[in-house]
Amino acid sequence: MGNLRGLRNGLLFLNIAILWGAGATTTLPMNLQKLSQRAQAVVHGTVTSVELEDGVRVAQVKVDERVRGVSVPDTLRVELLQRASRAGGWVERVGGAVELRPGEEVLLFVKQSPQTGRWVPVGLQQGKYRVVHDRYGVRRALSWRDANINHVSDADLLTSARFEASRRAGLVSAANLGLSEKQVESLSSLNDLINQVRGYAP
Amino acid sequence: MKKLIALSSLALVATAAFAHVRQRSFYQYDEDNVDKGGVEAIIRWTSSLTLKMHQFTGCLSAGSGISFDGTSGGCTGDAHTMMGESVAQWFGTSAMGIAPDLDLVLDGDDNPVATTSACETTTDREADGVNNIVFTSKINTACANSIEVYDGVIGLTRVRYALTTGQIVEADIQFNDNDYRYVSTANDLDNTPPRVNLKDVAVHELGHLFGLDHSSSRTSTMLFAVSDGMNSASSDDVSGMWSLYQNASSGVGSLKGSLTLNGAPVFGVPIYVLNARTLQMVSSEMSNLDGAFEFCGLPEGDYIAYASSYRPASSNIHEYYSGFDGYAPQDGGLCANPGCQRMNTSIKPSWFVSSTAPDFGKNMNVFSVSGGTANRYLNLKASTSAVSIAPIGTGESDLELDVPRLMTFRSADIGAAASGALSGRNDYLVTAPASGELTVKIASLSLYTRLVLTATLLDPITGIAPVGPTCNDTAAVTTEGADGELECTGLTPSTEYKIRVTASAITCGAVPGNEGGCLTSAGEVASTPTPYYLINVYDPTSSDTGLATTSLSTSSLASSSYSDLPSCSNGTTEIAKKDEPACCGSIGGHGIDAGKSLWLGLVMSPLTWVLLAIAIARLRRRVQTA
Repeated sequence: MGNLRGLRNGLLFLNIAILWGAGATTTLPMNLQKLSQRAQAVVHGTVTSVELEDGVRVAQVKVDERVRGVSVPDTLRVELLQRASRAGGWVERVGGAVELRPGEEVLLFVKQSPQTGRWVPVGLQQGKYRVVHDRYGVRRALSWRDANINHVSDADLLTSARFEASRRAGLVSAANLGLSEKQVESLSSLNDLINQVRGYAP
Repeated sequence: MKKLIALSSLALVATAAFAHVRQRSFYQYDEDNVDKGGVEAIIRWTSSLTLKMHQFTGCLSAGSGISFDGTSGGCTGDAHTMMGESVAQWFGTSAMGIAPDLDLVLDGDDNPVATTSACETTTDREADGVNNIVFTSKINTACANSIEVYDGVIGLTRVRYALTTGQIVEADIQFNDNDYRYVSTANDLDNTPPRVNLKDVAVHELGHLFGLDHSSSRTSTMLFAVSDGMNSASSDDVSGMWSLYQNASSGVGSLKGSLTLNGAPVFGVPIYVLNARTLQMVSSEMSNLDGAFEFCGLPEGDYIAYASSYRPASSNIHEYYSGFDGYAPQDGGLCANPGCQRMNTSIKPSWFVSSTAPDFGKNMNVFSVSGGTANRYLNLKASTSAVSIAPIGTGESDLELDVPRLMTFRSADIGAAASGALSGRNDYLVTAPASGELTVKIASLSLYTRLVLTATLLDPITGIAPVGPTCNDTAAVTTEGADGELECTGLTPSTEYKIRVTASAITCGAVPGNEGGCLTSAGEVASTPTPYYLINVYDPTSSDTGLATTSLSTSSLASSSYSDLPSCSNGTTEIAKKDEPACCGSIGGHGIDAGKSLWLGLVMSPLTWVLLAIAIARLRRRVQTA
């Protein structure tokens, strides 16, 4: 039995993944080009708040830069797919849905929902890049894919003291993400990524 | 059935990364923003559930190959059967031979047929108390409460739970058959519209419905990247299911304890319990806000327990703790809840092993559960220093039967991992038992690893395959995370053999999710694997692990306290104290109130269990039938 399972797993590996499951979802895998082309708009902005709107968690994102696509307002209402009821005392978990936190700097690939008018990231978690600062202050883009694939070796993790220092400074930096500075520095710079996104055909 | 080959040479033992994740809720502020102090709970069902599958006549969609009424209309697949098989994947037995304690009925018969001609009276956009399985194209899009389809989303599961208890009150799965065509055959995403195997998605989504988050074990159906054929639950998945729905009445003992660093609780660190012989994961926990963990219903046996490293925040550990407004109050955009405050990114795996020759890698956190010592307490002391194990180097090391070891490769061999040129190699000598049979198990300790371990049986003199023994041929297996093993027979008793373990790295492009190309250079270079692994060799014809006389003494836990705990007081109410691990059955163990304690009392009564056992048997038959 172990043999058969092992063989099956080997074949699975050779097949490589063709479906991309994100959180409690199964999503279509999309690379940067596909994301750019499927999104109605690509924006660089900062999350200012997350509130309940008609029972759905919605993030307000202040648009700092319109990277690509249709014209969007100065503040985007981005639906997080998660519904909640204060009175009912319940909340929903849709793990693959994008999570946005106040203060977070992001690059978002979004589409507008015809039903609600709110914006939804394309491919859910795939449609969000988190902007992190390396130790030299360079903005770099961290995708959900990077965060999940890159193994963080024990030796690379930063010390608790530095984590605390970063936290106090309010920086979303390598330490906050559980990444090493070396790993963050190896990420694409935000500027390079934006140029790449702009370079794709419509 | 084992496939044997004539030549006993190459066989590959794939490795296991232990990783399933249970979701948690964290409730701190009520609707009036009053601070309730923080209540932590595991998100899980606390009662049996019925899944209602909306059904339709004819094919699911034109040419989909799936119908709800067998083979009518030229459809070959049957949605009921496929969903039933998907459900059944989760109710297999765990590594301990115990099925999870949860009952589910898949009910598609008495649910009104949904059509595209009328709006439903109940839709899964509302909290209607019904656990729906819905195919989106079958819901009238003109209806006010029609289901929204999101771009690029094939399947989606919404799990609704009570913030204060984590109890799931409703869950809905929606399959997007507007944009995708569900089939019973292999996935074909290049087709238009893309073809998706229903079971591949269903097994994964069901895992979420039960309360599981993503696993980092490569063969898990809960892997973040779902692959062709991932329509069966792996041992990691079943263990996750079991850890959520621990069948406390079936086992004879428990392990509970806490993880601390310099006396302070450490939050967010995975604690693993492995079968000491097969190295298969039995269950895992994440240390809670008190640093506590608990494993209940363990059958008699020998186990290994250890604390892994801090789960990186990049995997969104914050998101296991949700609230109305995320993680308010926010602190400069960072999580400020107690869980976040108690994180420590520097935690290294806690092993209590001998680090120097000749016993290096031995005497780890092994504990046994037997009739007289059913409940164990293990106070793991976290460390910020990596465990130090002397590598074998170019020499050989003796392996004793049933004495698992924690091993590593020379750093010089690992250094080339980034380029995919990892060339680590460890040689062991082992003496064949009287039965002439040997089984070798290896488990990698890396998450998201690209480390592949291969085991080979060799003649210690010639260094080539020995004449006589036959081993299973798993040479085709080149992945991690499998429950692989090297099984050899026909060995000459009392003769020494060499077992060679080699390591290699997988390149970036072969990692699931990178099919679109390695997006960043980090994908290529930031993958230095953790080179530690567990190895155990044993005589499969013998049930005696031998651990009781070797590494089971309390002295092997020199760095931790270790004592027996009183048995759980079944049938009585009990209020857990914050400074003590909770008793069996109260998973989460933080902020248990009297009401819940009363409920626990009812749950733990023998009569309840008898009635439940009867109900389980009946309901399982229904699931099988469905």
